Amino acid sequence: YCPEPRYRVEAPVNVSSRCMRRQIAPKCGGVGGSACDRQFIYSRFRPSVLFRSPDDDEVPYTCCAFSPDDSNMILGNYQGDLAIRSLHSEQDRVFEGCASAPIIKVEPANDDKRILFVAVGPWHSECSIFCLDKLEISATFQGASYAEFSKKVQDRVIGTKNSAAMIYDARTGQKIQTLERRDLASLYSRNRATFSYDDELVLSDGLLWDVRMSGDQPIHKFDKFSNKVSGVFHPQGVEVIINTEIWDLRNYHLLNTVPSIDDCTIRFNNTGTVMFAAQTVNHHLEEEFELEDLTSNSKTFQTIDAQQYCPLSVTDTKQVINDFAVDGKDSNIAVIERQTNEPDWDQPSVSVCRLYEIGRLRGEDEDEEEDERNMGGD
Amino acid sequence: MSFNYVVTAHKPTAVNQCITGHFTSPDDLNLLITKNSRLEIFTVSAEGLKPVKELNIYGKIAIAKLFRPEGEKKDLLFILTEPYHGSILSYKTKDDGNCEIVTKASGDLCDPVGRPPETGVIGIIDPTSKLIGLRLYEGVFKFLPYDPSSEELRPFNVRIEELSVIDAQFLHGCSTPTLVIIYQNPQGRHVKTHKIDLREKDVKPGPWKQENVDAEANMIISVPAPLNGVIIIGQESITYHNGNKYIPIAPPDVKNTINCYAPVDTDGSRYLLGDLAGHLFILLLERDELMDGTASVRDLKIELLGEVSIPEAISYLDNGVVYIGSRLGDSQLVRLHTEPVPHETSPDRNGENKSTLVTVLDTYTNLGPIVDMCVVDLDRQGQGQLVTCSGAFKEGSLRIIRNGIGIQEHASIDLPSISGLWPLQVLDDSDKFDTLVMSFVGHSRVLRLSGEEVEETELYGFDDERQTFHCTNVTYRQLIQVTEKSVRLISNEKKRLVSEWTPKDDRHISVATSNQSQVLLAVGKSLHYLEIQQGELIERGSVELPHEVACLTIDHLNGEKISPESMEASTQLAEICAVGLWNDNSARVLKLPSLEEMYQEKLADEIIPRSILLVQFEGINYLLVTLGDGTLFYFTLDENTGVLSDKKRVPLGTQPTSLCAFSSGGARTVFACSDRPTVVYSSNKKLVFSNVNLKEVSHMCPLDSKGYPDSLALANDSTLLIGTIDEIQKLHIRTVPLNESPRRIAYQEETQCFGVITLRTDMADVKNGGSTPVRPCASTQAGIIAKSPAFGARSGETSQVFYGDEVDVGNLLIIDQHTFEVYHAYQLAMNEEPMSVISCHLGDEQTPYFVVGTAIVYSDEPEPKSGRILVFQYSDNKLSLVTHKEVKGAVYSLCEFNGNVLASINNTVCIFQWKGERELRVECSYPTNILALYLKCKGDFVLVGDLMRSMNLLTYKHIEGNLDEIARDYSPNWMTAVEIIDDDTFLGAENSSNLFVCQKDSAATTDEDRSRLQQTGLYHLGDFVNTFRHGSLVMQNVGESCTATQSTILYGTSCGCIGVIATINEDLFNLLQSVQSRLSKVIRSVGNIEHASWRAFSTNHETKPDKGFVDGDLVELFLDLPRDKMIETAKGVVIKQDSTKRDATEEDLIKIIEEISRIH
Repeated sequence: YCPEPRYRVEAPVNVSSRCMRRQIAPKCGGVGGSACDRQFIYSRFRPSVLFRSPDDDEVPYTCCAFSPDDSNMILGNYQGDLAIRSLHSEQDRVFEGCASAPIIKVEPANDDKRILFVAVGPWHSECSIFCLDKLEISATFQGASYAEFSKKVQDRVIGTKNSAAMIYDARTGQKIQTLERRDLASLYSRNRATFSYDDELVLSDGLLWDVRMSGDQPIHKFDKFSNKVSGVFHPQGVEVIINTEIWDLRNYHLLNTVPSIDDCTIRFNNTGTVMFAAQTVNHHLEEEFELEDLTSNSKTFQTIDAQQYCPLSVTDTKQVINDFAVDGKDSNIAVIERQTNEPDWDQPSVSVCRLYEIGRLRGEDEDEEEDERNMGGD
Repeated sequence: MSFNYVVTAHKPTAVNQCITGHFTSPDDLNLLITKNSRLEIFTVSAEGLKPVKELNIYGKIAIAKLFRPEGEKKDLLFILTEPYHGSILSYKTKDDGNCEIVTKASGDLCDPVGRPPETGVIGIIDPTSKLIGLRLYEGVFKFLPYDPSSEELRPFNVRIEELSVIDAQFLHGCSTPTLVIIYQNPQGRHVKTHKIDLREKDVKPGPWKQENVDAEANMIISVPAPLNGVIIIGQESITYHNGNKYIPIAPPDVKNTINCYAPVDTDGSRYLLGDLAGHLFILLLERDELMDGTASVRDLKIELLGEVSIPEAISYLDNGVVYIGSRLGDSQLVRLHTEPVPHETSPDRNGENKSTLVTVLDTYTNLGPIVDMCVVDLDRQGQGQLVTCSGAFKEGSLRIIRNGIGIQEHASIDLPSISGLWPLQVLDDSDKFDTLVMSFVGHSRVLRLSGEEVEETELYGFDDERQTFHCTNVTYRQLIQVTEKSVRLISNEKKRLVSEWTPKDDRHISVATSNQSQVLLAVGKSLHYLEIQQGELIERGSVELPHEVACLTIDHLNGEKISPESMEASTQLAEICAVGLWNDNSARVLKLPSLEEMYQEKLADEIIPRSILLVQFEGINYLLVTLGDGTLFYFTLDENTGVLSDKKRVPLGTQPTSLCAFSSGGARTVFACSDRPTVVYSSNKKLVFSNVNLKEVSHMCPLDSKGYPDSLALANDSTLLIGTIDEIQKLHIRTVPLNESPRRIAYQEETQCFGVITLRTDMADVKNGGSTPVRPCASTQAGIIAKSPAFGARSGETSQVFYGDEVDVGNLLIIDQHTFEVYHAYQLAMNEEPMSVISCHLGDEQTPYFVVGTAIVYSDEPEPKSGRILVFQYSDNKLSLVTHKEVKGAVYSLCEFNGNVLASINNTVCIFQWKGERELRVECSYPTNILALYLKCKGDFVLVGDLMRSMNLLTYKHIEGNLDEIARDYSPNWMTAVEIIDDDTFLGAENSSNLFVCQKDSAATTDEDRSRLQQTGLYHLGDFVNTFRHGSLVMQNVGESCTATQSTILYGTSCGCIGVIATINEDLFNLLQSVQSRLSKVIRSVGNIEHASWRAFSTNHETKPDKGFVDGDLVELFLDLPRDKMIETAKGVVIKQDSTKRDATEEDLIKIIEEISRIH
């Protein structure tokens, strides 16, 4: 028996000791205190609110996002409707027929007036902005199969088509710039071009671009370790995460590898200190019911310390995850769970949006409830 | 909206850093100390530390370094504040002799991206002072080449591969600046050097590296020439390394983490090291002198010098004197000895006096960290005192903080209706007072003081048939007595009346005063001036004034010391005097001996001046006048012209107030006798008014006698009292050392006791599973010690204790409120830690109880799974455990709630009912958020402060018998303390040192809005608040000082700061806010940091401008401004009076700000 050595300057593992210690050693009770806090908080998730489609309407939800003030859920569904549902009241708004295909991604702008969405149908994809003031589509980004806002100032949208990244004017939908080098392409099967948090860099298909420089010369090409995920920037700005690999953005060294996040969609908490990862199945929507290749991983979401890249927790949702979102107040994670354990396969599956409260333990009775349901299912 | 005024009542005292150098002049040795956002500059002199200047910086000082670039005659100061703002400061003596801190260069050093390091920022300056190195973000070093011509800091960033840098230094003896770092990677800790290429703005591999040094190497010291190289301080070893040579030692004395060092010699051969247990070591680099004249290190020797306060930083000053800066306890000035001297204060466990190589020369009080506190009125005078749980580990203590000055009573005599008191020296054999003259209506009495005995006596030549107006020793060994009839000059040698002056026409003297050689008296409207010669009184002048004289003064401005020598010959004569008149209520300054008027000032319309005094404080001349309503006016006085300026007004009491000057601790002090006795003194050239812990004083005189040295005689309606006065300072602090960590405190008025919960660290006993105390402390020295039976042990747990393991032992201490003696210690079970304590009444019982909440803490568990609520009763000197209740988690907080116990247990808030059979039973519980750390309640409302979910408000529903949430704040604030301001307004402090106020909007139209607490106040305090308490340190509601403040809340911080938050009305708030914004421009900040950016609410994920708070620390600086700056500030400020608005004058602002400054 040899305990991990902990010294006096290090924060205690037990949270009550840490809370007492931080009174004399602000602000986290010693070295490593904030990591202990992350471990404590991001390993507890308590299912809370459940958003179902209205009763008379069996259309499953397909994607979700929190509104900028975190008071509403923005939901996209299988038939192309957008819904805004309040977390604190019964207020709902539904905008039907925004797209003619399942919406796989919604992203509200920080001004709370525009919603960028991506709808993917069997024959075509649609990336557009729905304007909440005028209640109409204000811009459509032609040629893109996936799109997201620029981050610091949301005046641009970056779209993806295969290995190409296209930058559009968010207001007009005009294409401004295309970033592509076919000769250098990594050809990730799910390439999703993305802006860095200061909007100066773009990561697309394994290539790093500086958008302020004209020309078609990327500034770096990352080694390719997998086939699918093209990667995201770390919100604290010094790393990119491409599938399981963590790269240092400043010298392009491989910093770390996190095997458990293979093929996962990654989101960050508000402060960029914790990563949420889950194998979402929205990219399978176009091939409905092709779920055979999904491992049991796809029924869980994980949290990973985004500073030390050590795993914090794995939460079993018992359902396949379509999409998930994290709010800006470190309070909730919203998960679109597809109810695949329905015995009747002849009707479309139902999927719901379930909130999990971060940092809260499941109560004892709640555990029992879960158990009972499981037994019934068996 | 909410309107709050926040101001510091006691500055932070916990020391973060100390450095030495030559900052104020090339010849001065300076000590610079940083305490949170304050910087104190001292010069080191043979007499000790002399304060030079104190700077308030708009930011927490993370780094302070002195350096001397080429061409500078004295050192410059580099300061880095958090969030990162750098400035280079220099010291300048102004033409008027005052000093000024000049900001030579400054700049924002924040990067848009990057992760602040958990191990703290590092700031170092290379040996040639050309380059400042900063590690502000992980993986990046920022280098700042010193450029004397630039006002802007222009740093460049360099990536270094090593992410986790533990410590860094610049190497000595290198031609290019060379960085040496300790870094950590998964393999362990290593040392590496990097050369800095200033032209390429890059780093190159350095001359050497060393992998796998001590696994806990945490500090690196760069050794100067001729030795060069570095010392690596680890947990188990100390190593010298210079690339070629590697000399490790593993000293057995060093058991704790060494956390600070100070070089002793400039050649780097000796270093002082301090560890977390308060041990002070000296490290010696033994050297070989080589043939070529160079030297190399032969061996390292380390010696334990002794025990000091747990150091945060050390500075070697000079001649074996060392400053120990402490964050957890009092800081010290110590002397090092080469030969052991007996230990004075702390005998060891066996009661034997150990010898030591360290003796303490001076101690500097530190309240920090204030972990908890309570406000009590121990003297029952309507004035609160604070009792804080301060410090930690061996520095743990209780501190009793009282505003104002205490008088310790030594003797009292029942003597009603004294109307005057004067001390005399009549006997020849000493230079102390031996006689006290008392006057009454129609007669006078004389008391002789022999030793502590007091007896009535008679004085030759003294008229005791009349009321005495004035009586004192004067020159030529004479005494003077003034009655309504005459001025009597009595020779002390001849023991008889030698001269008498009587007013013409049998008129009566109305008022009189004198100094040692001059008498001033009034007969109605006529004022007479006499000089005292040997054996005679000579009238030098008289004048008719327009009105009758109400009060007069002829005091020497700088005071006179009455000593035998000065009584021999005529001393220097005062050249001015002052009078206060009836009817026109004016104060007039007159020239002596002509009594020609130099200046007059009207004081008030209706109220007559009652007492007037000329006095000099810290070289500044003042005229003080009190009125019949207890108001004091004070002016600065130009000695040559008699002109009075800077009129200021302070309400002292409500009754006529008389003034008396005396000396305390060598400094001039004025005692204002009234229904609210006050001591007036000067601090930093500013008058301070400090109240005295006596109810009423009508007359007072200094009394330094053999039996009562350095005492005062004080009279009220019924009694004469002799006592000594505390050291003069605004806040009086008394320390009760506990020598273990106090956690929470509760006061029980009925039993006149405090309940204090503490934690001490013992050595584990390998044999019996128990523990042995390491040092004597409060819980081991209590009168009665009881131990709890075992509780909550993990099943199947075999005791895993090893020799040398430490275990924490929790106790409830019962401490007397008067003597602070520890009557009882109740020791909790193994692994049981006390978390909370309250004193309360339960059910309908009259008996008060102490209720203690605990947690069973295992260091490897993320969260306690069980705990207890223990109910104790203390009566007849017996502490008994009435009942205890097991709960499922840590009891973080307790409140008395309608005769029941309200407790937060992990994330749940519970109400425990008190049943007739004296048991606790759960009535209801409500699971809130992550951890319900803090609870406050008012009526049926419960305010909960969560670990990271801000605050929420619960209410108890009587009918359903349950708790329900009514509103919450949704922001992710990590709470450190909460308080209820009123039914709708709630105050919180969070762990990025911000304050905020939330309001409940009961009138909102939707449920959603009602359930949401609105943030109406945001403010960056810059300090970590651990506790809020309602209360005040000053006497409440005296005279017209019922200002617009409604309620005050005190806060205590981890830096040892006490502050006041007052809720004020909207008009006052708007006025003060506009004063604040003007002052932020008028008063230039050190380092060019914007006031608005300092006070902006700022966490690691967002920054919002402050609102709802006024910075009292800035606003009150208005009172120190020169008049022209006051006028500049007042320009454009609008004041609202009786619903009309007008432009405010500087006089309006002085009045308003002085009034509000009286809340602390």
